[in-house]
Parts: sequence; C-alpha cells; structure tokens
Amino acid sequence: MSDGSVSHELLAGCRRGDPRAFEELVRITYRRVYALAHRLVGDRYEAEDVVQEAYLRMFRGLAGFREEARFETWMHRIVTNTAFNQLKRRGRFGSLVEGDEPLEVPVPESSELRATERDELERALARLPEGQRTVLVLKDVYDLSCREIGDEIGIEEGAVKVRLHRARKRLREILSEQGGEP
Amino acid sequence: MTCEEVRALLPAYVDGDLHVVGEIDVHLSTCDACSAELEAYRRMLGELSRMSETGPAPAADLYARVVGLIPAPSLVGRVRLAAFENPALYAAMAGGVAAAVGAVYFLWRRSQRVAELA
Repeated sequence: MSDGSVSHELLAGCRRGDPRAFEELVRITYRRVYALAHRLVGDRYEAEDVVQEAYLRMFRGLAGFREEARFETWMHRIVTNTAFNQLKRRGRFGSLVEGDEPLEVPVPESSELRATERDELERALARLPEGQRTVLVLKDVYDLSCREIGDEIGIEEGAVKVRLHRARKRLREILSEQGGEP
Repeated sequence: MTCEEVRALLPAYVDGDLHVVGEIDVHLSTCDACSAELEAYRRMLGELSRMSETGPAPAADLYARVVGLIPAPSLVGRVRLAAFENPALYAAMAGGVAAAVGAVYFLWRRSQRVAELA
C-alpha cells in the first residue's frame, strides 16, 4: 500500500500461515492503515488501537478473503468499520451520525510555520466535524463510492452525498480561514 | 444564477453530479471570481486524492506491536508450511511414513498367519 502493492503470492503465503508473509503484509500496509485510522478517529492513540484491532480482524478473516475486491479496499473497509466501533464505544458515534462536533485540532508544531499545502490540508481536515470528515476522507482521499460509504456508516447513499457536499464546502471555508489554498 | 447560488453548488459541480450544470457553465463563463473558486475546489480535491499515499507518521513501535499480533501457525499449519517450503523433504518424510505403515501391516499379517498355522 504505502511501500508497494499486495500481491496474490503474498496473500497466498499468509493463507498458508507463513509468519514472514504476514510480516511483509504488515510492513507494506501499516503506514496507510494508520493514516486512514488517524484521519477517521482524529487521535493518535485511538488510531493505534484501531490499527491493532483491524489487523487482528484481518488476520482472522484472511482465510475467507476471496480477492473479489482488492486487498487494500477490503482492508480499508475493516479499518473503517473498526474505527466506527471505536467511536461508538467512546460515545462519539452521535457526532459521527449528526456531524456537528469538530474534533480537537492538533496543536501546530514549530515546523508547521513553514507548513506545506498538505500540512494545511491535514490540519483543516482535523477541524471538520467527524461525520463530515469520515465521508470526505473515504470518498475524496480513499476513493470509496458513496454507496460503499453508506453501507459502512449505515446511512443512505443520498445522505452520504449531502454530507460530502457540506464537508467539501466546510473544508474550503476552513482552508480560506487558515490562509492555505490547495 | 447568482454567484451565491453557484458557489453553493460548486462542491457537487466538481463531480458533474448536478442537473443544473449548464446554467452553472453559463455563469462561470462570465464570472472570474466563481471560476477562481471552482479552480480552488479542484486543487483541493486533487490534493486530497494524493493524500492516500501519505499521512500522519505512525509511532516507531507500531509495526512491532502489529507483528506481535500475527497468529502462531498450528502444528498442522507448520507441517503444511514445511511441506510447501521443502517439498523434497516432505516427500521423503511421507515416503518414510508410508514405508513404516506398510512394514507394520506386513508384520501384523505375518503374525496372523503364524497364529493360523499354529
């Protein structure tokens, strides 16, 4: 995913129970898995919990994964589902559904004084309400369809589109306020 | 359409997912400010789509923690893995087992015959 793609041979090795294949699978996927988890839950430590739980679920479910979808897409769905469960457990699912509570904004570090456009965008993303950020991240960053997102979140496709529309508008406003113009 | 109306629709217009695209096109052809706003949306979406390859860096020990969760293979799994990695050895072992079973059967049949003759 981040350092290479997941091959059929590598997945076959994992299915045989080869620990080295599992390690390689983790090595080439964990950075992107963590990035997605962090963008969904907005907190470093919660993201680490999500990553570990998602990998446990993936290890258990890999034998039944028939490669009808790309591994990356399947893993994204596991991470998304795990993140939602995490938010529910932490009592934050309400804000996910209603989409009206912005997360804590990460404190800018000194290096961000020379922030790139991408840094500005990451910070702006963190300021979106969870419900909006989730939809926007899954659609505009990870390219899931509105239908897939609706299935994962448990809302209608039309509601996903509405939320996406609001999220883009709000993100654009935040970027304008920050002075970043990707 | 007014600038306000057009700008409200730009987040969906960038996907071409609107029934009023033609009206927006007409407005954009004469409004530099809204055209600039549209361009800003496109840059934003372009940057977002490239973010899937990057992201916040994980903690240095996260990889080790995840690797620690890898399930240990069962005994059967280890045998299968050994067979896959070293088929010649596996064939030799399988042959040895078959020979041993054959030998036990032969000895058992022989003892049966001796008993019958006695």
